[in-house]
Amino acid sequence: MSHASIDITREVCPMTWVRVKLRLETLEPGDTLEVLLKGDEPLRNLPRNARDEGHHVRSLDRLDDGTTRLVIELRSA
Amino acid sequence: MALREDQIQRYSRQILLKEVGGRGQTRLLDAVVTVEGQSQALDVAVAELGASGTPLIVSAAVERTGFLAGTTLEALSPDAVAAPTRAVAGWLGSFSRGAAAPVACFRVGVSAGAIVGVPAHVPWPEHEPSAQPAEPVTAGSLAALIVQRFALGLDASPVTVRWDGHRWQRD
Repeated sequence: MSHASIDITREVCPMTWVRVKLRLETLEPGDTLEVLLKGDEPLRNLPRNARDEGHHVRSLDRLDDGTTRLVIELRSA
Repeated sequence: MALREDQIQRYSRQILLKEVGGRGQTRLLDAVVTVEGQSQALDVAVAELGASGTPLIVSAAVERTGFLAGTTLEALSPDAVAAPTRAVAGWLGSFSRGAAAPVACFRVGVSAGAIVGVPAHVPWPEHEPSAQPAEPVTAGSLAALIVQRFALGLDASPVTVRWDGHRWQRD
């Protein structure tokens, strides 16, 4: 299992999910992707989008600098 | 083939779709389709396929008439212009307005099919009750949709779609 990360704090919807989705496609089932995001819209949408596509949302943590760290586990094959 | 940044931006709305994504968009960009004949329905299919990034090889009749007479494939998308050396994955054409004749025929890979019996006003096939498109738009959009579904590997079996007066039916 590998662990990847992506920073989408400079992106706006819908490109936030486009970037995450494309990054997820490069991973294997069971791998995790750490997403650094900013703003309410991706905070609302990304966990839902990830679940809609069958992935597991492992954690969602607000950080001191105002960003949020979302960890997604890629769905099993 | 990795998507270029300009392609990610251009096709972002498609990449968002669960059935498409980056891999699906790559398949659409790889599925060269030849288009023959001339009709309003064919114009719609060319516009939708071209804008979605499917490379097209169009006959002279398609270029000379219809909406392509006022624009170019490149204006739909730079990716809609197929390199002459690319292998052709699909074919679209033979549109007819006759009652019994197919309004659209297509072949993608080893699969083939037809859309027949579309009346003047029918509901959109994707259950959009507010949309009541006229026949050419319905037939052309449906033809483009089916070609895209084949290209995406969502359905690999031969198909004929008929309007039975209430809903789309597959034979």
